[in-house]
Amino acid sequence: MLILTRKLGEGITIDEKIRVVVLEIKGNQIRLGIEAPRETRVYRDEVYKRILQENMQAAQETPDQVKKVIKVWKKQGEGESPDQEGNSS
Amino acid sequence: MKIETTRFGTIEVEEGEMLLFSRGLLGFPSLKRCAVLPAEKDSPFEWLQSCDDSSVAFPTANLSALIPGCKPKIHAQDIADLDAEEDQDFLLKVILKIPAQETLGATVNLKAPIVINPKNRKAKQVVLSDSSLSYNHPVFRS
Repeated sequence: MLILTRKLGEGITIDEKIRVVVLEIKGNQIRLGIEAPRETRVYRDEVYKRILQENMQAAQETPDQVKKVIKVWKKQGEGESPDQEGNSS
Repeated sequence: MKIETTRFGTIEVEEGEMLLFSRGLLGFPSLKRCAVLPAEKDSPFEWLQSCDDSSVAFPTANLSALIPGCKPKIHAQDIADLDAEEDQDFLLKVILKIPAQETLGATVNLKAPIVINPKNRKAKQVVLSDSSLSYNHPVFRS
């Protein structure tokens, strides 16, 4: 990892297209300003990792599992409470 | 066109009906074109089957049918990415996750739904800033 020291108001330029500036330092929090081309997607690390993880898990689901969900869903729609059928292995 | 899939065998998909993800889904950057396959009649559940990778498919639900009245605010940037108008209607699909052996624990990802511009079928998985939205919103009342 490249490590650079910056002061308040200073920034870095990445690839001539992306600029990150330190806008505010307050205790252990730093506000960053990011200028990037429209198509650049910027995520908070934890958000990015979480969505990645959620998508990976969802991609593992099988048609059988989804059918079971639909079965319970339809039952609920009929005003019945879901029973153990939906939990069969 | 005919598409091979690992879950549903060979399926026929109209190219004009595919969803177009210019940047793929998070974690699946190559997933640019998806077919929407209803999982079952009269249910909000659908599969998004990749037309570029036979083994990639996501179970989803139509948000408006799953949670009537749920209309989360979409960022202007995301609307622009879909070449859409601020005031137009969008289709929202949420990705479904089912814990192993636990159908009743099924959840949908409300925090990062798939937004579709029905006018051009452009689609994007967005991140909503509303902190009350959950990555694991339960499908069933407990």
